[in-house]
Amino acid sequence: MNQYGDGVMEHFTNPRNVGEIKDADGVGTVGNPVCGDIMRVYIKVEDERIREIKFKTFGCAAAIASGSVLTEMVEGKTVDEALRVTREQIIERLGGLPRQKRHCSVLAQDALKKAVEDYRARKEGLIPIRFVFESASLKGYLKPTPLAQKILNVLPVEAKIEKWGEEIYFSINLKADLQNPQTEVKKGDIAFWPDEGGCLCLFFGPTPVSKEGKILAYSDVEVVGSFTIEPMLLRMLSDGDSVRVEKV
Amino acid sequence: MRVYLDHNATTPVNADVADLVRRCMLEVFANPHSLHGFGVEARRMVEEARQRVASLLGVDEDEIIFTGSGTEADNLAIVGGARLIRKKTGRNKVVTSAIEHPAVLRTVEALKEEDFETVFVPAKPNGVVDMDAFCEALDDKTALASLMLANNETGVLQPVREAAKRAHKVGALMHSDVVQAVGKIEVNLRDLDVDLAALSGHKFYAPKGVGALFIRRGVRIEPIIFGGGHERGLRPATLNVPGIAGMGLAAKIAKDNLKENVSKISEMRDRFEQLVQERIPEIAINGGNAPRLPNTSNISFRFIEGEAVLFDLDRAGIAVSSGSACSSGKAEPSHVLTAMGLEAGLARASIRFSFGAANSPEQVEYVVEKLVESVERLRKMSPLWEDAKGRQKQ
Repeated sequence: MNQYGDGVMEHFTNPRNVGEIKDADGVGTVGNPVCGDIMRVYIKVEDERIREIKFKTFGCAAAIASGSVLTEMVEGKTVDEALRVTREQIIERLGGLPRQKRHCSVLAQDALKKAVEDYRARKEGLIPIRFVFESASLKGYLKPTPLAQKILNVLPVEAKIEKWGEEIYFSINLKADLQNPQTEVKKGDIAFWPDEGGCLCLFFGPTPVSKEGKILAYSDVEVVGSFTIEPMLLRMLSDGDSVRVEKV
Repeated sequence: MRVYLDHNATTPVNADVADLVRRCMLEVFANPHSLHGFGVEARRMVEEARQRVASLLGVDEDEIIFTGSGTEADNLAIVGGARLIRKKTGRNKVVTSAIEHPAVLRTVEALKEEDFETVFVPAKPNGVVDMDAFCEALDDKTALASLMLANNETGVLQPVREAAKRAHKVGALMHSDVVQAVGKIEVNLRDLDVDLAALSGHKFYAPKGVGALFIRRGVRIEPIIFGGGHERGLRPATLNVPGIAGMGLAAKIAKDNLKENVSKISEMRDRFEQLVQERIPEIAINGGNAPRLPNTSNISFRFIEGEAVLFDLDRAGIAVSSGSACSSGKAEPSHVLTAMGLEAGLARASIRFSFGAANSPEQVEYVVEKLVESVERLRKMSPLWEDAKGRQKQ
């Protein structure tokens, strides 16, 4: 007898699909900024169907039960079907959640979404990398291009960041020519800038020279990949903070 | 097995106390303010209880008034004290700590709305309020200072006597919330040199719904609720005679058995912590390096959330409480652990075990077994544990 119903307690007590998949096709981790819970989902995909799914969580009983139920619901479904599972369906399957715990059901869903993103990125030949800051890390992908390959070859690399508007850049000591020079970029782009010793640039919003809704780099860059924008983290960073870029 | 380890939340009513309460309800039902024999009988009950509560606290019976709860006693002391001082002297400041029970925190916050200047002094990592900062905050503008004697979450004892000395030096009133300490350790309010102190019956085996406020002889406060002249006009309401009588008897029992209970309970608590430390890696005993209540153990199990441990133990019939549960909107980790500077992840991983007179060494063994099972199970599920193990390997 407690605030949870039998459904939640059953899944909390005997959670399905707990664990990790060593050779997963996609992995997604999310932290819930509301309550600090963390959820990680691993998927194994064949012919666009989720053949195997596992999860791990740092969370309350509701988070654990939600992970259990969601993984049970999507196993065997196509990736697209899996993404269509709603939090209401999760809550219904749990037999209800106390009002103040309803946000926990979103966590599992978000982690699955990220795992699918990761799976799709890898399928396109994107190469996962990680930007590790003192307090947290960002996930990104490099496209399979000759320039990106040169960048990969210098990883891991450590640097001090500079901020320029809503751009972060830092030198990776790489001399390389641009094949597709451009100055207009998008939010979430990772670009290579040949100046100042060869820099990686992470764009998460307008730079000081941007105009008319266009995000513009200082001078020619080449977009080599993309990263997941975590606005809170990016705003907290300041000049001189250290970053380590590594392969995942 | 059913094991109750949440005595800091509330205690069961002592059987003798329950008998007295029942007898009181059926036989001594009159209004103690009535002039007839029935009333006199009820009044005697109340006065005997008053004497017993005073005796437990090392003070005189005319310094005790009964209230409906510890929270109410805190409210009366702080609001009634600060308002009257301000009227008389113009002093406008209230100083307290950031680790107080909400009964004090919210009350002082409410005074802010009345344009009092308020200060909430944080704690040091060991759980003791930063006394330098506390004393520094006390000045000739201060109307009232309030510091709890024992923290409800960690059990850490606070230097109330030192705070009182400084408060009196600057001419401020000193209040202490002694709710968690009474019945668990010897509490002598005369020694502590406080002017006001709030306590609650249900924390020491009396029924819920009855508390008391100590008001040192000569100290004046004003009422915050209005009505008849009961309890010197400070707590106007017909007295809860059964509850008060029960609290009186519970006070007597607490006093008579204090030494024996303290040694029995602290032995169990220490054994419990020793076993937990031996069997579970990556834990932190919050407040473990400071003087503490003998019954309280607040432990963070790194990489897992306290709430999940709580429900695992609940399934095994064990009642504990967690420092934080992620709940509506903002799920803040415990304000006490946060004020001690504990990182959020550890604060969220905390569980409070609070022992009582009816616990046994066998129960301690059982709880440790179930706790080990739970922590292992939940850590296997935790991505943070997985990451930490990964880092160790590297």
